[in-house]
Amino acid sequence: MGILIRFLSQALPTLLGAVTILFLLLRMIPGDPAQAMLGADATAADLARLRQDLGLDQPLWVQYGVFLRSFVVGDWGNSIVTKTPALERVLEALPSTLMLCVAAIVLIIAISLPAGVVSAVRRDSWVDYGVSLVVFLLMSMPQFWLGLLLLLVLSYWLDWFPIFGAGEAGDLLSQLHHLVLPSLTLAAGFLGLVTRLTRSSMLEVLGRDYVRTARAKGLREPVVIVKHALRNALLSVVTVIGLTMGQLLGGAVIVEVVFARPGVGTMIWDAILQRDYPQVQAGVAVFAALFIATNFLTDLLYGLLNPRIRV
Amino acid sequence: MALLAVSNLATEFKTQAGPRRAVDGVSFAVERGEVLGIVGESGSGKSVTALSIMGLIDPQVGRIAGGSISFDGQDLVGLRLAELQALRGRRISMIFQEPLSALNPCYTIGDQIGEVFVAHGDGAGPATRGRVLELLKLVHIPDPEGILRRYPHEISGGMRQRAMIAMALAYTPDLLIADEPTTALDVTIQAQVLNLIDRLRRELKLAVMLITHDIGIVAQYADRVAVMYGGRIVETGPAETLLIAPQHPYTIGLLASVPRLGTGRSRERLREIPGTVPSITELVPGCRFAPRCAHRMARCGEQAPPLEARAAGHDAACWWTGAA
Repeated sequence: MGILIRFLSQALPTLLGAVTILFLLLRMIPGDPAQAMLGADATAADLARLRQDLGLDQPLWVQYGVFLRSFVVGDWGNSIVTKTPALERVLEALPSTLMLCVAAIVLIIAISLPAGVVSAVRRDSWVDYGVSLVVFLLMSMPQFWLGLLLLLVLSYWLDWFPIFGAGEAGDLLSQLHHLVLPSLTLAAGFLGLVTRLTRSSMLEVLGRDYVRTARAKGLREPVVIVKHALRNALLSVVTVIGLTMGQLLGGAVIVEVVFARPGVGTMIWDAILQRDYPQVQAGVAVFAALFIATNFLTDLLYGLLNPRIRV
Repeated sequence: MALLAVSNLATEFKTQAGPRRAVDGVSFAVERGEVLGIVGESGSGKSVTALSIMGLIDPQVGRIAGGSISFDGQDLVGLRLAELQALRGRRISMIFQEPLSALNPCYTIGDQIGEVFVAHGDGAGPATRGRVLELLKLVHIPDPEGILRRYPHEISGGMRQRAMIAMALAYTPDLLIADEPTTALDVTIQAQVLNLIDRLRRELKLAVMLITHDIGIVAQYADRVAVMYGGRIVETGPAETLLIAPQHPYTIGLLASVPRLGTGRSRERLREIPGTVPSITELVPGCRFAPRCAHRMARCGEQAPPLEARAAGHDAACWWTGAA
């Protein structure tokens, strides 16, 4: 019940805000959609008719009302390029993108949490300095550049990984093989953030009285560090990983384009280049919904992890 | 043989000016079943002494630089971590000043007490639950079944400290170190908790190291007293003689600063010891109390006075002998 109220009071208004901004952004893009759709040699009569069909001759607030109504009933229009429902195309491309983001999250958790914990436990040792160095290197590389670098070295020169695509449909091994470089590229920037955050929360928590109590009880160090320290440090780390999930969606656009992977990212990219507004609108709206959903889930997870705010 | 014999203990911490000793040449003993009160202001080295005994000095910031800590014939200094862990929570237990921060907010009381048994190889399960319930009853927690499932933030300060005591008593240790166990509690709860510790140590024949800045608590509960200042013991002796006939000017000052009721002198101004406790980077040579002492002599700034007998079992480290 509490969850439902929170969903209605937080997630829904945010989603409404997001699609409103999306609506306004698309109207602010310079140029005339009718002109873009019909091409430079369209007649004035054709243009006027299309504008009427699209409702572009209506006042902005009427357009907004129409937009909202069709958004709510799920009628998100057809792609101008393929003439098929825009939402359907997004949903078809979604699994590939989600797979990329989930792989990146798995990498972030598998690499950053242990690296951050070790850095904190062995602070100011060469391990700590080594981790910091790698982390800062990864954080300071732009995604598109790192992606190209990995492609050049590991795919083109060494031929360890495929250069483009998402792998054979139905062949999990091939798909995973295609996933390695893109997910690594996508994760890279966040690896640094999450490692640093894990390190600093662990350092803070390791100085707490209850960690001393745990040691005074005779618990062994791994239990003290994982059960007592990490469990508390995770409270702040989980929030950031959850927010990261949303940001990964944005990064996925760049990574999919660099690695020529099919997905919502490449779809939005192509749609922007082709002025396929309904398609851009559908893609971005789904991303916004996913972003809001992950934030909402993060909130719930935080509540589950922290007994002090459990409802 | 004493249960615990600390001899010439020195514990130092890294500071910007190099290593500095927070505990410097401390020696004392605790007999089985005895309550030793350790008194001093904040920063006098009481807690560091306790943490040194537990082997809980964070190696990143400090270390035991010398001396020995003999517990039941075994020197704890330089003991392997695994051997120390086997003693902690089983034969030597410690309770802390602030029970809310000393308990992990993410686990229930029952979980945190039961963990002591798991740590010492007794496993979890229904038998452990029964033992935890017994412990909660032992420390007079009402509704032990309910408290078992509660998180630390859901119960009162007094209940939390009782839960801490229950945790410390899981294996009926030989030595209980209580570091300011009631400082964070309301006055009425303080008395309850101290009386509980006193009753339990009689029933279970525990030796207790009662660390406090409150000399009144020591007067009521301790058999013997050690007064610490600037990382050293300045006076030690049986509670009755030390409190009635203090020898060291610092002890005299501490006793004089206790407010008294109903003595007909209530209008008298509360007396204080001038100055403040030095931090470990500003310790002076010679007697460390000299800068604040009313009986300071030229010699005090040059040579540290040794602990010398003033009466049977009553030693003081002071060049001034005017109190006797």
